[in-house]
Amino acid sequence: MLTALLRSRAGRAACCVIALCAAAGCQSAPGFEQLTEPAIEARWLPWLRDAQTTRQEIVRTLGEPTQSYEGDRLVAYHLYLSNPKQVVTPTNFSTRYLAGFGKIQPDTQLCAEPAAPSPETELRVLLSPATYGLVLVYDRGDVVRAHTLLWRAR
Amino acid sequence: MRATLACMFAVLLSSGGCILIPTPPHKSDSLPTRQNLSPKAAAEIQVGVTSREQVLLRFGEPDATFDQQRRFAYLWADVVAWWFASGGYQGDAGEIGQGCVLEIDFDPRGIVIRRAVRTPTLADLFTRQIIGGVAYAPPQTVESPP
Repeated sequence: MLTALLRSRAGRAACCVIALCAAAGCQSAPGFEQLTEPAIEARWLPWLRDAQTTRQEIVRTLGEPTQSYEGDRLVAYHLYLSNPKQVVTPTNFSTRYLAGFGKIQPDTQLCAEPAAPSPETELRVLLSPATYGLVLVYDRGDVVRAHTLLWRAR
Repeated sequence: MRATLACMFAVLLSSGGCILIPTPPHKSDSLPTRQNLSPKAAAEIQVGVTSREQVLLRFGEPDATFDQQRRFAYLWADVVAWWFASGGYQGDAGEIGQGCVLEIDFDPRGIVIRRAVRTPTLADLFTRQIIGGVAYAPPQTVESPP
């Protein structure tokens, strides 16, 4: 079939267009797909399950929430991606920012931004390729009843 | 008709000028903004029915809260026009974004009693660009009956 396609001028042109599109896709698609909410949940939050995960487990993993509503029944976390091995300082921040976040590495972490972030954390949030908001609804037994992860900015 | 428009476009660009083309509001790939907010999405909020929990789960954390979390404010930006400018052999183009605000008020039980979407009109945006004033269209407000 490919041979038949390549025999005609239109077929060759179509193959060229498909090849170019595929090449462009190879360069840009994986980065974006890795940052989508389902991808983030699958990679970093598979332990978070409605009707199973407790407040204690959440706090042990993510720390205290960034914001609380209606007492502590509804809580929100600001999440960002960071490479902990990368040293970020006010001196090298500009260089790091201009260099971009780079590929998501095996050791890249999804971190929770504390309510009162340190200056270094603030810089790491700025360097993150995307930031997310995680909203959790607890039931009366302090078990997660529902949750949602949404982009805050990208 | 198409040929006439193309000619006008070519003349404007070649003679040095600026063209503003309004577009239906849409999200930009270059402007970082919330992707899940629009006037249509805001209309899903039912006054007297929707709860704070449902709002948080649908739209995420608000950008600002007021009056002890009785009012939420969500901010986002839509592209509403494209501009093209040229002078001599140089030209440039870009997007014109409009900032939008969704305000939601809750009663003490956490039920929505008012929602309002505030968006500046294209004329307001133009005025703001030229004169520097800030003018917003009257909010599309929905309130619960007293």
